[in-house]
Amino acid sequence: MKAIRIFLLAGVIFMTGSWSQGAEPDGPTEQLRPSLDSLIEILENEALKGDAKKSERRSMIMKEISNGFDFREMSQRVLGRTWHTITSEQQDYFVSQMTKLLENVYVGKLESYTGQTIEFVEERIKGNRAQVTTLIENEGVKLPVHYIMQKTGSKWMVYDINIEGVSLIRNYMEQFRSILRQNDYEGLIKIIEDKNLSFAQNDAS
Amino acid sequence: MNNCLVIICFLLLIPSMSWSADLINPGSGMYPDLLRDEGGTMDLLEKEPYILEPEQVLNDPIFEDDFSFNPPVFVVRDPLEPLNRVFFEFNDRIYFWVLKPVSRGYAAILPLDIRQCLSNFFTNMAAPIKLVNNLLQGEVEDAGVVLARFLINSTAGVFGLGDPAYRDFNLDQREADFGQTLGKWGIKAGIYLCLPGLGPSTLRDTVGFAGDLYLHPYPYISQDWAKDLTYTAVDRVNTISLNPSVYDELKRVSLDPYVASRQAYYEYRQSVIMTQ
Repeated sequence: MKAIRIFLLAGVIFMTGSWSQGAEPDGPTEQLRPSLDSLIEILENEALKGDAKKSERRSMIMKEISNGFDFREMSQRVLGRTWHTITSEQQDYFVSQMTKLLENVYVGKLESYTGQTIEFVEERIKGNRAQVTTLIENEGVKLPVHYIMQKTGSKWMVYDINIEGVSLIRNYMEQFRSILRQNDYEGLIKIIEDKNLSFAQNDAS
Repeated sequence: MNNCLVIICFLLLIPSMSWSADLINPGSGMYPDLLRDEGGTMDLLEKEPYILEPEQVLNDPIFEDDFSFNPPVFVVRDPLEPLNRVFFEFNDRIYFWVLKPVSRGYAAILPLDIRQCLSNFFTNMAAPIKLVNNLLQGEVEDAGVVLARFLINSTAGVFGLGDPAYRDFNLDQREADFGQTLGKWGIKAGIYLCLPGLGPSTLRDTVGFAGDLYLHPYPYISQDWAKDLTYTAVDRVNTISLNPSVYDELKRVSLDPYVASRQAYYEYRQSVIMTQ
């Protein structure tokens, strides 16, 4: 059960608060930090709270997240080899559906933010990839959250989040792989669409 | 009865030790070869779509495992998937028909602070498991912390209901279990099992769970299996009442909750064995 709890605590991944040590000025940590700070600002903004402001708040959050998170890269990795068997229109559509899925899953979670603190504890760079490790403190329990990032040009973008050893992207990859064993790509897309629809219906009710 | 269970589990474990050699069937085509993806581009995906070496999958570089904290030195083996899925469904029903409504009623009756005290109590009672396993893993310092926590919380914490060891002495919990101990001793996870009433596990962790039962003091105090079951049930309901939405959230965010929980379980257990 603990593993599942940790997997679900992914909701608090975006939260920030404290700052522990300096890192390279243009390094991955320094680029991740403003994204997380802006997210917290949106979440703490009284003017944006409540159900009435939901769509406005969500679009602001998504705009902020898409600055630091590479949904296309995530989509490629989640789909693995199948990515190359579909047309570029299908790829674009898959990215849009995957973005919607992650938005529904995690932005909903983000909105339950209750002021947990994030400590940036480590940064490792290897080539054009980096791992930024943070510790989130929640009810006295410290949870290590690793952001896996990739550099495109001079911009570091997050493409995976690993919480106590559990990779977000790998988790969805394994689910998709299992679904693709019994369905073709169209079947998979249908399942993702249905999932996204179910979120919309839950929101409406 | 209990003895039989443990013996059977150990017998089952023996073949799992030798499985490590044939973790994957090369050329099965199920896993893309992403190893040479050094630069982070996806083009290399196309070059070799099939695995040639099991190690390539074990070090699957698409996830940066070469420089993440915990290299994934496992492959999920789930030959009993159809049966496991039946048990997963079974647990799902038990959760929605029994555990969830009961824990809701329970939470309505008992205030939060009392439930937290009970949670402390159950944690404190399980201290011998953590003590022995820390020792078996050679973590003498952690074992000392567990012992100190147990002594402080059982006395100053009034039978473990409070947690002054953390509040006043800043001693945090040092988790350890027998499944983890076996893992640190080099025993592989073995096949995946979704146990009815218990949830995700592996062959190794099931053996570990059975071993840990022998270290729990309550059965020695109660001498009555009906009381043991009640104790376990109250512990479960209390835990769920403190974390009410965990399973519901898993179902909400997953396209295949069975695979999602299996993958998360394997990766989490692996990280617990690799770290410290």
